[in-house]
Amino acid sequence: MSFRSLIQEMRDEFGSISRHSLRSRSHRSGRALRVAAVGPAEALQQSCWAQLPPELLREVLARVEESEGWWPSRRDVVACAGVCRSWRGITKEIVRVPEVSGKLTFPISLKQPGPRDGTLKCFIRRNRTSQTYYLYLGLTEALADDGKFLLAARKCRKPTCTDYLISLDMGDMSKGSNTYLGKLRSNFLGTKFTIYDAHPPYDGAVVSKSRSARVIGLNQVSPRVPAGNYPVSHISYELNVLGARGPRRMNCIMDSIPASAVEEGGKAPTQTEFPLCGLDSFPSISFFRSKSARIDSVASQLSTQKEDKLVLKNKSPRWHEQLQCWCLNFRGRVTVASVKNFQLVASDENGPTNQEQDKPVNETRLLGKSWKT
Amino acid sequence: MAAGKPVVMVTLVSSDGQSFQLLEEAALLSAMVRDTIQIGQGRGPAGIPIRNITGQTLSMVVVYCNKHYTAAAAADGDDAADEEKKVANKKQLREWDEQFINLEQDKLYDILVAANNLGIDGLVDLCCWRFADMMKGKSASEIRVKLGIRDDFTSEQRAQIEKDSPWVWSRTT
Repeated sequence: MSFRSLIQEMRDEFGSISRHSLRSRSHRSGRALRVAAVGPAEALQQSCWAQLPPELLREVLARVEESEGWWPSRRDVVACAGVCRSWRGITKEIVRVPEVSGKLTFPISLKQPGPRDGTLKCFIRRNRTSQTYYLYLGLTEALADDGKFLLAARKCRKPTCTDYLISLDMGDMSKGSNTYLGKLRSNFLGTKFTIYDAHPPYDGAVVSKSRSARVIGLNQVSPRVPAGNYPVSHISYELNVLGARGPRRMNCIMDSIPASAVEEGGKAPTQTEFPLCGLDSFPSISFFRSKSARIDSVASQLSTQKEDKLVLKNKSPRWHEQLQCWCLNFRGRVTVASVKNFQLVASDENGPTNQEQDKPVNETRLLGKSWKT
Repeated sequence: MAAGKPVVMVTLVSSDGQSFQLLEEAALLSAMVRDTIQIGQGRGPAGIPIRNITGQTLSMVVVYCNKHYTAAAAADGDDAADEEKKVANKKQLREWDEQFINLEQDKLYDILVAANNLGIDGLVDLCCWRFADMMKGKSASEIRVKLGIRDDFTSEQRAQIEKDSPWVWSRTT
């Protein structure tokens, strides 16, 4: 389109003299209103593609989603969600939670329930010198592929306990970072652990706050407001009567998941978006003990769930008479025999096994069928 | 197609007044043409006016319809043909499709919208695949630049995307 015709078109649009000259291309006819709203400078950058009818855009994005099933090419789907508002909205609608699709797409997938049939195979790489741990999603059947990075954790020793700060960014594992997700706190002996989520674990509560918070949110420029501490899981890890050489006992109470979640047709709470600390700051319970109705709603939700929290236990190994050792079937996922290998199952023995995948939230040390040291 | 059936042609007239004649059966690939003919219009010498689609785009669409009609007719014709031949023909058609749709993005856009307006499902599908292919391996900003789409996120959404990005783009070490 020549410069002259552009000017002509703009004149037409702003002056409302006529909608379009006969020369102008047909598909641009829907553009007039939008252009007037955004102003000439930006309008010039917009092309016909910005006006692609949503139903067609959906078709296209569905094909991107469909064809890019696995990492690393799955990042194309995330890229599409970062183009503009309409692209993001449609992509978010198309991408289904891992419980249904078995795929991880956005980082929030890590806080959503995992697939019910089948597992997501993950592994942890440990760096002893920097005291860091990296959780990867295995991309092939092989035990040692590169994997897709999922979570990073850094060990922080304190006088009475040890914290493992968990982050989405392998380069930034500080508590003030906006990629900070939560932490695993161990007692001095390493026998009791608590997992804290930086964000309140209930989606409903998260959504309800945003409208009122946004007014002040605009002034709170810094996204580095320290996040809260919401305990989501308690783990006890004990030696048994046989001492360090015998199988250990592990007991996880998942505060934020009702026991019914693992039953047929049960539902685990599913978040759809990370709450943003700075812009959207949701005061954590520990910071503000205010009478805010919003906080009360979180608290009451937490307490109502208390009666039937999901409890996971490690599967007890059998004593193998011939081999004279404790045995547990890891289906080929374990290469080194160790008392530290474990499988978690719902405490109700009727439930399906390997429930540790049910909600891969922050359980750095639990995720994956086995954990090798 | 049964032999001896009278050959019926229809005329499609583009928004800029160019007319294209093609077999009615080929034109019936378009749901819009099908509807028009069903209500008893469009068979006259005036043809079917196709608004919003220029001659340049319509000519491409007509080429697509003709090709797919002849391919389907050929497949119908030799029903005795062995499976192997059918598979080969299908593959050939797919290759033709790929070549046909290997267009620059503005033309692709025009054809996609035209196919959608005309209700030609196969062509919409083909365009969408091609478009999806174009998106592959690109970052969000590359897509924005390529397609000339403006970033209209709220600051909240942008913060969300920034929070996600190190996770998404992290390379394995």
